[in-house]
Amino acid sequence: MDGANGLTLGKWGRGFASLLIVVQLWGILGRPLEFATQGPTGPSPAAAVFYGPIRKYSEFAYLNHGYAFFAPNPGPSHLIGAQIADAAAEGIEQRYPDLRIHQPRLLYHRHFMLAEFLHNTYQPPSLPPEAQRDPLLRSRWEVDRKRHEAIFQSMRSHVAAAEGVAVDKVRLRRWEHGLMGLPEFLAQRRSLDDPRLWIDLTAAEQFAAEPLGGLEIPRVQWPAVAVPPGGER
Amino acid sequence: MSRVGSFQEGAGPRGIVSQGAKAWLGRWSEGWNQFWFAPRHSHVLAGIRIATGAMLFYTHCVIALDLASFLGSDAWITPALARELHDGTYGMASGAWSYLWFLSSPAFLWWHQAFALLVTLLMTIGLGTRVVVPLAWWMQLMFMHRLTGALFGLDQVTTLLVTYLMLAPCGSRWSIDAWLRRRLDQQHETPAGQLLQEPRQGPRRRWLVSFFLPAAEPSTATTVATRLIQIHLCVIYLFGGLWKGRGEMWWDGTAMWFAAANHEYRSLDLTWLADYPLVFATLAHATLFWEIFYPALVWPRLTRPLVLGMAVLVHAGIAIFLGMITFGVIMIVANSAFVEPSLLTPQTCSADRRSPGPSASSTSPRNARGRR
Repeated sequence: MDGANGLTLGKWGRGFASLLIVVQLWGILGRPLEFATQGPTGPSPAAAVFYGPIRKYSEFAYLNHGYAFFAPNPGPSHLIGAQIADAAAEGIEQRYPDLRIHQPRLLYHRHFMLAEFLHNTYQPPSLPPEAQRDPLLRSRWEVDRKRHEAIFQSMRSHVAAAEGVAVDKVRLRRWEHGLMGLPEFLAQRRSLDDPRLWIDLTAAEQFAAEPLGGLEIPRVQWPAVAVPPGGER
Repeated sequence: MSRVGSFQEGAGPRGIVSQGAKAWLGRWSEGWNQFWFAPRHSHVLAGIRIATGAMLFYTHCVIALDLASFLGSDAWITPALARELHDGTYGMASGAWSYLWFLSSPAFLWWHQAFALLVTLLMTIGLGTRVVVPLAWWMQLMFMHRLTGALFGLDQVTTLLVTYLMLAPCGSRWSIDAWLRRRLDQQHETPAGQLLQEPRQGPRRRWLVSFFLPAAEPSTATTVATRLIQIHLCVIYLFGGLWKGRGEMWWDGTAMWFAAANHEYRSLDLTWLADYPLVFATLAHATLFWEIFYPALVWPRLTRPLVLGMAVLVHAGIAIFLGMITFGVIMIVANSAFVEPSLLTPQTCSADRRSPGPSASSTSPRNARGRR
């Protein structure tokens, strides 16, 4: 007891506790700082040096977040559409997330985050020729593309297992649900779920002839239906 | 402390600088000690423990509704992929680790889930808090590193809360532990109970009782945990605000419209806002400035009610209109860390302030700040 000021910890106790507090504050601040300073070539060198020594602890303690909620701008939503080969002819596509199925709301939000995760990790199947000449860009793209394919394949396998069908019977599509601008809404008063707001991000995608990592990309012939996730099921 | 009067007469310029630096460091040290180590009542943390425990219990219930899809061998993210996303297979290895990367049998997962539900239930009711809160923290980390891809702000905030609750005697009030402690104290007042106070019973036993059934007294650990929650919240809002400041929609005022126009988030129709651009633009600007200035304006007592009132409005809005009820609620719970314990039970705290000892008026953080 440090009588005069009522502190119950002694000098050495306070010193040790202060050291631990400073480490924790470092852990709290490190990742948001590094994340906020990300540029085309990575984070600011100063932020990277600051975060480096505490990175592993921050990651294990789940402190490694950027806190960019609805930022820098509120953007469109991304969803997953899953078609099963047998049912595809009928144009049935299961949407993830789907508020009609995924209840309570937290379960819906978990599926929503998974769909956003698939979108956020997306890398194009090939690099533009000029980028291919940059070894750093190419190696980074190879790793990121492999990761996307692994996530894609894991999700596809999950749908197949849940539906009780072979993996090659499942086709996943990434959908983007665009946001209606204010002038557009005021002029047309369309529904927020208007089919014209949906973009099939997979449709224009050309998979690489030789997928990386030996992962098989579906080569099933699909009927040319484009049922928006918000449409008929 | 006098700023100038404490300098020794006749000291040269170097002496004055040296004395000034020492005085400044002394004041800094005193401020640091008061801020972090002045004992504090645990009412607020007890409330946060109940709310966080209940939220963790609920999130585990929801995972249990579709356990195999989130944790099983055929989950959306398989256990092997969850491991590979962290172990360096796809880029730099992270410090994350979870035993759930290696265990996916349905029987194990169900027992594990039942255990997680039990632990969080005990945390909520406050039974064995010195054991179950650290257990809840550990299991939370294991879930977080396993559920990669399915997580969002709710998980970040519940994890930070349970991390800091673990440090404090958050079961010393409003808990079964507190009830057991009171029963024990009453027994000590009887002749048989007084035996516990005898030296032959040993200080270890008394320490164990005090640790596992903490007394409802002000403590330094409560202050440290509360301060860490407060500062962590300040970091969240600061970076949340800075990130928003990089987007043009928060400056041109349309951000709130685009949040309202997001079909996947909305739980109530807000498209009527389109006819009131003044309203949604004001909301966007207010949110941006509130987040950026939160770390500065939440500390002074004059502005704190306004900042916390805005926090309740913003997060209640997110809960009601954007469908993220759990996230909105847990953010309001986290903001309650800025509520002074004396506001919850003024009688207890007033009595403590009158009494001598560690909870005397000169030691409370509130008064320490008042002095500064």
